Amino acid sequence: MDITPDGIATDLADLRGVALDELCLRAARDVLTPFREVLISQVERPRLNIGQGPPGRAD
Amino acid sequence: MDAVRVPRNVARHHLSTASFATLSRGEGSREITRGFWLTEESRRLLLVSTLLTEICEEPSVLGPLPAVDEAVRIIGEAQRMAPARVRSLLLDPGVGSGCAYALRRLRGGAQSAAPLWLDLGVVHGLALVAAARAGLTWSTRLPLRNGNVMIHTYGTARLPEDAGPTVEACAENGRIHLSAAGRRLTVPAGEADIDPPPGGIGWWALRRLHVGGDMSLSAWLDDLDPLRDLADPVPPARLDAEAMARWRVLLEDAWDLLCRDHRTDAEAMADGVVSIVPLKHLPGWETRSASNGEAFGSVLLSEPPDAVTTAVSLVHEYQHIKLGALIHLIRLTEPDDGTLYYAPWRDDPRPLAGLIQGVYAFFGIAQFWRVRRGKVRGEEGAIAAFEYAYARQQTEESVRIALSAPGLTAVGREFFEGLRRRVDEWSRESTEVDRRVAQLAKLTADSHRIGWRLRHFHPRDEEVAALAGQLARQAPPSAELAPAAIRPHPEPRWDQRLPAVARRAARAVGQDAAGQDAAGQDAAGQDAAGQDAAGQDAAGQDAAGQDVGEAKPGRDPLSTAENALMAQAADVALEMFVNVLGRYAGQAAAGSAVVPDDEARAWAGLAMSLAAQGEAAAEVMERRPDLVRAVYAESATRHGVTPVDVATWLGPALAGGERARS
Repeated sequence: MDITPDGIATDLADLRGVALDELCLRAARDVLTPFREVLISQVERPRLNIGQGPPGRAD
Repeated sequence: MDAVRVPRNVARHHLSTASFATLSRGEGSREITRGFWLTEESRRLLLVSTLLTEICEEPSVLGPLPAVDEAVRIIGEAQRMAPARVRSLLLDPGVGSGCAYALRRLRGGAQSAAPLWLDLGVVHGLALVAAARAGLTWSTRLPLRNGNVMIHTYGTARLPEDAGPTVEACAENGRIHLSAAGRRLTVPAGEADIDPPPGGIGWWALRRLHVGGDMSLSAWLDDLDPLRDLADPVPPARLDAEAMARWRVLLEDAWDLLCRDHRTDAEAMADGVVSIVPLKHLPGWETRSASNGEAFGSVLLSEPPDAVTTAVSLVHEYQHIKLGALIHLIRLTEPDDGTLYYAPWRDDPRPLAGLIQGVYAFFGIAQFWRVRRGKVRGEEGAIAAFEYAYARQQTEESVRIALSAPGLTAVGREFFEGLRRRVDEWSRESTEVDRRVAQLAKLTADSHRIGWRLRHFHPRDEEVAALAGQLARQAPPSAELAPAAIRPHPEPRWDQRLPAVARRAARAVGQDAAGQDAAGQDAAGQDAAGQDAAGQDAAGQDAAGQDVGEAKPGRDPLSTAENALMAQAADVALEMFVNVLGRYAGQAAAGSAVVPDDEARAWAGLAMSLAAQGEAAAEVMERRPDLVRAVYAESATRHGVTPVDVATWLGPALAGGERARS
């Protein structure tokens, strides 16, 4: 990923204003597959509630 | 506004170079926060649509709940009817954490004894509220969790024990109605609670705190949402009226402080903090705080003791929130390769992704105290100076560690180079911290690092045996030493005494300064008896040394040694630490690789005492305390050597290029 004078092209699809039923259609699902893979890798990271992890600041 | 169709070639969000530069300096702005809400809208739509899609592919996972197709349809219709109102619902932090948890459970990444459909029902609840916000009529069935059901942005309905596993729910004319086993409830539109009538349905409303004048902060005080913690569901923990009042005062005072003295932070947070989740206070622990990357805008916080702690906690967590949103856009680290690193604020070793979160947060903390020390004087000023010196040292060290990690991406490296440049600017500032306070901060930071290495570094057994043999023969040590292996100590937390004692000593320095000021004023004919007494107290504590940390001389030699070190009596401290470590030699020789808390304190104290005296052995003790300990354990009982003897003897070997990763 490069930083250019125009900014950084990110890993996130611009879906603002798109209705969820449209995003669930087959065609959209296919187009969004690479973005979903990034999302799932972020969501699936194991985690603990703050009360179960080390006390103090949870970073 | 009509919703647009998904384009064939999906556009990506762009992050401007100006915003990237601001963020990489550890800062934020109102514009960046607004930009993050736009990117988080995309991220949330992607999350919810992924969850809905995966449920559609395996409809049996819904158990007794209705098929999800109708929920998909009604949310889409609601978006077209009332886009702004449904958008704000979708962006609610609870929707993010609830949908993320449901997706994690669906994919097997979270385990629970509760049926899966109970957590997947978050989409039915979302559809219901979307329908209500759009004025649509729609019915569904919602799962009950221990008799409760969360209605996002409204509150929690409380049903009797015999209500069954689900509740019927209907949106009509903008209102939500619930019914189960003949009982009915219309969800209140405001923040009124309803006590449950006998056998009936009760209601706890989500409550909002609104503080500030020309620039305001408005946030839920969320004590209800089962997914308001970082991972697994938790029960409601309803705050009573007194607790609500305390939170209101804390937030009002903290927000006033931020708006007055930390304006840029306040501007960035004003639209960025939308929910505060009160955490249970655990006696004996400092203020606890956290944030969840899937719940943009939410801060978890135990009730702080004062407004300053509240303010710095908000700054700290908003750093995490910004970084979480940035990581949704760009990868700063490569996939985890299992390498663990030293994070100066954590007792346990951290992966790179965790380390960088802390780096960014502690930069914010350092910046907060950097500003504050210029605003307050006396005792408060000394505390601010101590916290700044401590957090700056932690940040400097952790930025350097992060930048040395091979797992940073190119953009990640660019990002943290920006942070390093900013920290370098701080170190060149002319306003330096009081020498005594700076020394206390340095001792606190050094002690933690040395103790961390001792607890998690492990030398190789064959190397220890070879070195012990060489020492016994009075031969020089092996020329090349292997790096330590990092194996986490079984107890994540190290019970230290030094940070609290150092803070108390820093406070005494401030009292001392106030006393001296007062004495000067007294000489000018002004009444300063109170401050003068404070000054004398502080001087007495400093001179006595032992009083600073409430140690009992003769009964706790370790605390006495630490007090002597902080009182700058390093020669006395050194001898005491050596004596304390003599008691542990037998235990360590018995093969214990698990270092007791107090033994770690003694080794750290010894290393710092050596450093204070300019001894060459200090470097060995600081870099590889684990190796010194292990060789000492093998040698002490047989050859009568001291830890200092071992460290001095090992010196040439470590000068030969041993590399410790921390």
